[in-house]
Amino acid sequence: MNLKYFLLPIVLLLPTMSLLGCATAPVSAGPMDAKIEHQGTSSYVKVVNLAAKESDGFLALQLEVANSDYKRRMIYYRVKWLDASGFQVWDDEPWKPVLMQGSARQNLQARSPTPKARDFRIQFNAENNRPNDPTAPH
Amino acid sequence: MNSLFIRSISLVAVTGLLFGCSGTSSPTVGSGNVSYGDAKAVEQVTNEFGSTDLQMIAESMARSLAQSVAGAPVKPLVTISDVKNKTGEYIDTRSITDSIRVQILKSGTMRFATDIDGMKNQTDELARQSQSGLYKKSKTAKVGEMQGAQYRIEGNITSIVKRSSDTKDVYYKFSLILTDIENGTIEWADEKEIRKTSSH
Repeated sequence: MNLKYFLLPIVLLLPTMSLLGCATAPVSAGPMDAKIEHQGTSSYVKVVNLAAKESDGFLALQLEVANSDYKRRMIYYRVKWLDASGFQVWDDEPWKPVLMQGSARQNLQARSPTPKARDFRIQFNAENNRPNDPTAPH
Repeated sequence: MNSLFIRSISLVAVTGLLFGCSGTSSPTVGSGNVSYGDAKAVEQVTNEFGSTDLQMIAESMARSLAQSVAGAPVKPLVTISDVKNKTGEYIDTRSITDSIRVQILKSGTMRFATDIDGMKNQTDELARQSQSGLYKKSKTAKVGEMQGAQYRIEGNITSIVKRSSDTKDVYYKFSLILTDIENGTIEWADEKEIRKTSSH
């Protein structure tokens, strides 16, 4: 095998890896559905985006929710903070009520309570939920 | 043989009556008119200051404070002064600051010096150990070794209440500041707003 063809991908990959490797601030939120525990299926308010980053050892989350109804709707959420092994590292948080204006999008932010938190699950509950569809993919 | 068989059946039947038929009972005492609930549920019984307000304020303030000192090489030593209640209702603000202190201590980002409320107990114990003559000298806490806090946390809670014939609207604002005790500068401040509306 020609050494040139072997080295070329490595030469191309190294700067890319160093660029991505150094930018450690954003934490991969992973597949959004895996991070959000929906309590029922929301009729109107949906989670449309989830971002996570790390700052000084603490995790910061931003959850973007959208209300497709023209009426105001209540939602409730809280975060379970987990360590790298999946153990919960903080007590259950209080449920937080949020009033969503009609046809509005809103960002909800959360900060981890301890640097031990390396992962999270968001528990999400919206007004007028339908029961979860057991056949729906999670 | 027959007699032994009958006796065995009878024993099983009696045991079943005594234990088996009673079903699995919960380890509770009482008639069942009292029920336990979810301490973290959103409390909407009335629109006066409630448990959810206390929990949300404490969580928001503690996390903001912890984040503000994250990455500091040394954990700052702080003390908590009282939060002034400027609302028209009775609110145990000590309970709020206690929750904030618990959460910050658990986060491991700050240390707390004895506050004014705890000072009498602290000095009483120090005096008892050092002046009573009851303790071995090498095992007693020494006088003059207490550490003074570098920062003081204090704040206030205010409310605006509006009523109409069928609506009551309450707006709460909880403000907290962190002051450098030596030079008097405010190093951090944050606030949490809550609106509660009820109609009847």
